[in-house]
Amino acid sequence: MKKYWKLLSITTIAVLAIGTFYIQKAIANENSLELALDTVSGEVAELKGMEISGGYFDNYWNKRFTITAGELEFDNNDSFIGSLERFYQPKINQLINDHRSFMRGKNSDLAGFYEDEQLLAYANVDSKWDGQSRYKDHNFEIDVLQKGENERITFEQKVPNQQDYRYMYVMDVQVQDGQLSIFTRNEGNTDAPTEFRVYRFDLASEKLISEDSLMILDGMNSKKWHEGNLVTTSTETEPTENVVFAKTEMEEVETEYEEYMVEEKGTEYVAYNLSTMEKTELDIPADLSTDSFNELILGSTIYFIQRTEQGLTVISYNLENEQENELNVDFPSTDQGNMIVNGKGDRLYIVGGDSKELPITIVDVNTGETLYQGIYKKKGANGVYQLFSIDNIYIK
Amino acid sequence: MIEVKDIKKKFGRKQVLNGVSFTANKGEITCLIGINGVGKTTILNAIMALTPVNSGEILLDGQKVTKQSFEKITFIPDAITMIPQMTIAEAMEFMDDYYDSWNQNRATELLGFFKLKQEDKISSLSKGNTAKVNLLLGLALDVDYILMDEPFSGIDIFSREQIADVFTSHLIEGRGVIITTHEISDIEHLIDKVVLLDEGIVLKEFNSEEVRESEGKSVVDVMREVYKA
Amino acid sequence: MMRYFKLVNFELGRFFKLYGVIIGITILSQLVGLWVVSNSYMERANYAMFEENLSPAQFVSDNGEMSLLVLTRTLWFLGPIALGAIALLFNIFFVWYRDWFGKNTFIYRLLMLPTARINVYLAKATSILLMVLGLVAIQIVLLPVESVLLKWLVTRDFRLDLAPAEVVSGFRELMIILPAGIIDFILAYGAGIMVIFILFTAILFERSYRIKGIVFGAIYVALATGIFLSPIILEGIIGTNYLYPMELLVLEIILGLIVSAASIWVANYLLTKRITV
Repeated sequence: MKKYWKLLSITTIAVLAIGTFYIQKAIANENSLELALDTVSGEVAELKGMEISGGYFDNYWNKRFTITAGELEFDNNDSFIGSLERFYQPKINQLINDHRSFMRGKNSDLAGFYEDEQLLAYANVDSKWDGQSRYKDHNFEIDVLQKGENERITFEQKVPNQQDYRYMYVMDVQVQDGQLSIFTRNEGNTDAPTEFRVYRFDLASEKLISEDSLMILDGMNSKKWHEGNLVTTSTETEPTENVVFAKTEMEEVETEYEEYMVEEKGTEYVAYNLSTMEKTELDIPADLSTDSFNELILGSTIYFIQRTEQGLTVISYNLENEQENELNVDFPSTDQGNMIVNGKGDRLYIVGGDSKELPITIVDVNTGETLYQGIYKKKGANGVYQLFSIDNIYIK
Repeated sequence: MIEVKDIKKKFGRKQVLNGVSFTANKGEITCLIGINGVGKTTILNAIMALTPVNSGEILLDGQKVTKQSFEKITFIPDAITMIPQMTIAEAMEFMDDYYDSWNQNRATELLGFFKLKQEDKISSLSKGNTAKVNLLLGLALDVDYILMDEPFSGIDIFSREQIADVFTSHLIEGRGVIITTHEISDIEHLIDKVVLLDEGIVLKEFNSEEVRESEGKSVVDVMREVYKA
Repeated sequence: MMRYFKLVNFELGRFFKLYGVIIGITILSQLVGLWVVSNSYMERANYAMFEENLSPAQFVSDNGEMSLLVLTRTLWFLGPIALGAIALLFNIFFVWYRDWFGKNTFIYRLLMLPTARINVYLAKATSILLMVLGLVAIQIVLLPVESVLLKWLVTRDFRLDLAPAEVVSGFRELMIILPAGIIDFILAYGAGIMVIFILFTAILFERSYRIKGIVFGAIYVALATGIFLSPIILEGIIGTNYLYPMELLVLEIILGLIVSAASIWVANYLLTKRITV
C-alpha cells in the first residue's frame, strides 16, 4: 500500500476537501451577506403575490435573489441548474408548467401570448433573413389552446403586402368573441415609415378577416423622428378592452457646448378599442409623457408616474370618461435610483433599483392610500460601491 | 513457434515489407539479417503488435498476439524501454509490479553477471551498461520467446563479449530467440537459423548447422552468395 | 483492475515533482500575497487615521473592508491558478508524447504490458483528472488557512471574515474551478473528462497515422464536438428552442456520455490495431 501513497493521498485530499467544501456550503445557512427588509409602514402581508427578481452587487458580492412575498432568497447558490430554472420569466414558467406540450418551441416573449379562463393563444411572425438587408417571407403562426377541451387551433397565414415590410414583430395578442387580434410593429422598406398595425383573425374559419393601420411613425429624417411604443398592460397576457399606442416626437438638438442630445418633443396617444374596433386619439397633454418615467394601463386607466422631491406623483387618465386625476405617493428612500412600476387590479407596485437600497411601495390607485412601504438594505458595514438591480417584478 | 505469414507493410509509398514469411522455433536462435532499413525492426514491432501490418498474419504458438501474450514473449528494442530517471532497482520493481513472469532471482543473477549496481540511475549509465540493463529487463522475464533488436550495435567490445556470453548460458537455453543484426560476425557461431532479408522479401531461410555440415559453407558464405546474385 | 491503479499511481509519480513545484508556488504566492496585500491595506488605513483623522468606520466606508476577496483579485492569487491550469492542459499532450520522444522509448514498455492497452489510456486520463482535483483541493484547504492569517494581519475593525464558499461565490472567476453546487461540479468536471478523452483519442490518431493522423484527429475532434453540440447547433439553425432547458441538459449529458464512450472505444481500437511506436 505504501507504494501507492501518491494515488491514495491525492484521492483522499481531493475527496475530503471538495466534499467538505460542498457539504459546508450546503449546510451554511448563516450568510454574512444579509439583506433585510425594514418595514416603514403597512403590513408585509400586502406583498403577497409579488415576486421581485434582481441582484445585489458590491465590491465583494455578486448574488442574484428573488423576493417572494417579502422573503428574500438567494438564488440556488447561483448554480447552473438554478439558472436553468430561472431561464424563463415567472409567467412563462407558469405557462410551461400548465401547458408543457403547447408551449414547446414557442418564442418566450410574453407579448405573443394571451390568456383568459378558456384559452391560451399564441401568435408569432416568422421571417427569413434575405442575407443582405431585410427580412422576408413574413408569416403569421397562430396557435390557440382551448383549455377545457384541450384542443388546439393551429394555422399559418402569409402577412398581406409583406414585401412592404423589412421587419415585423408581435407587440400584443388579444382574443375577443372568437376573434384573435395581433398587434404588430412593421418596419417599412428604405423610406417607408414604421407602422403599428392590427390583424384580426376569425378562429373558427382560421381566416384573416381584417387589418388596420393604427399609427404611423412618419416624419423621419436625421434630425427629427418619431418613436412609438405600446403602453404596457400590467401583465401582458391578460385580456384588455383597450390597447394604447404612444408616438413620441424626438429631436436632436445642439447644446451650447456643441454637443448633441436628443429631446422628447411631446407624445400623442391612440387607443384602439377591441369591441368597437375603433381608434381614438386621446386628449392627453403632449408633455405628460416627457415628464413621466413610466406609464402603464390598469383596466381602462392610464397611469403616468412622475418623480417629485418627496416621492412620486401618479397622474391617471381614464379612457372611458376622459377624466384626469392626480395622486401623490411618498417614497421611503432618499436614494431613489431607478424605479420600476408594475400594477395589477387597483394596485401599483413601485420598486427602486440601481441604487444602494431597494425600496418597495404599494399604492391603492383608487383611494390613493399607501398600503405598504419598506426598504431592503444590506446589514452591517457598508462599502463604497453597493448596488441593487431589479430584473423583473411579477405580480400573480 | 512464432509464425510470420506473408506480412506486407507500406510506409507512405514505400513498400517496406512485401510478403515476408518465416518461422522461429522455441529452443532456437533465429537471426534476421539484412542491411539497415530493410525492415527488420518493423518485423519485430509487428510481432509485438507495436505497429500494424497491411496484410498477413503473425501467430504465436498458433494464436494471435494479445495482452496475455506479453507474459510469453518479450521484446528488447535497441534503445532502453525504461524511464532514464529510474534507478535499476526501480526499473526492476516496475517489471515485478506488472509481470507475473518476472523472475527476480534471475534478475539478481544477471545483475551480478553484468556487474551492474542496482542503485545506479539508468540515465547515468554508459551506453554499454544501458544496453545491459535493457537486456536484463527482458531476460529476467520467464518467457518462452525473446526478440532482440540489434543487441550489439554501438557497444564497446567488452560489453559485446559479455552479451554474447549470455547466449550460450542457461539464460537463453530452451527459449525461442529472434535477433536482428546487420553484422553477423559476433554471433555467427551462436545462431541456429538464418533469415536473409532484402527489399522487403525473404531471400533465403536456412539452418546454419545444416548448411555448414552438408555444403561446408559458413553463414557469411551463404550471404555472399545470396546478396551478390 | 489492479494494474490500472498501478498505472495511475505510476503516471502520477512521473509528474509529481513538477506537480509539487506548482503546489509550492501556489501556497507560497498566496500566503506572501496575502501578507503584502494586508500590509499595504493596513498602511493606508493607518495613514488615513493618523494623518487624515478618519475613523476606522469612515475608512472602511470609503475603501471597503479587507477580506480574502481583495486577495483573490490580485496576481498573487490568480497567477498560480493560471499556472496550474496551463501546466495540466499542457500535460494532456505531454503525458503521451514524452513516451515516444527522447532517448528512451518507454511507449514500447507501456504497450507491452500484460494488460489491456486501454488501461494505459484510462490511467493517463485519470492521473490528469486527479491532479486537477488535487489542485482544487489545495485551494480549498488554503482558504481557511488564509482566513486565519488574515486575522493576524488585519485588525477586527477593518476585516470581513468570509467562509471559503463565500470567497468562491464572491469571485466569479473562482467559480470556474469550484462551481456553485455539487451537481454543477460534476457536470463541469464531467465535461472536462470528456474533453480529455476527445483530445487523447485525437493524439492517438496522430500517433497511429502520423501526418495523415493529424487530419484524422482534427476531424475526430470536430465530429465529437459537433455531436456533443448538435442539439444546440440544430436549434440555432431552426431558430426555435424546441427543447426546454432541463431537457436540453439531460440530452447533453447523454450525448456527453456517448461521445466519451465513443472516444474510449475508438482509442481502444487504435491502441490494439493501429498504434505504431
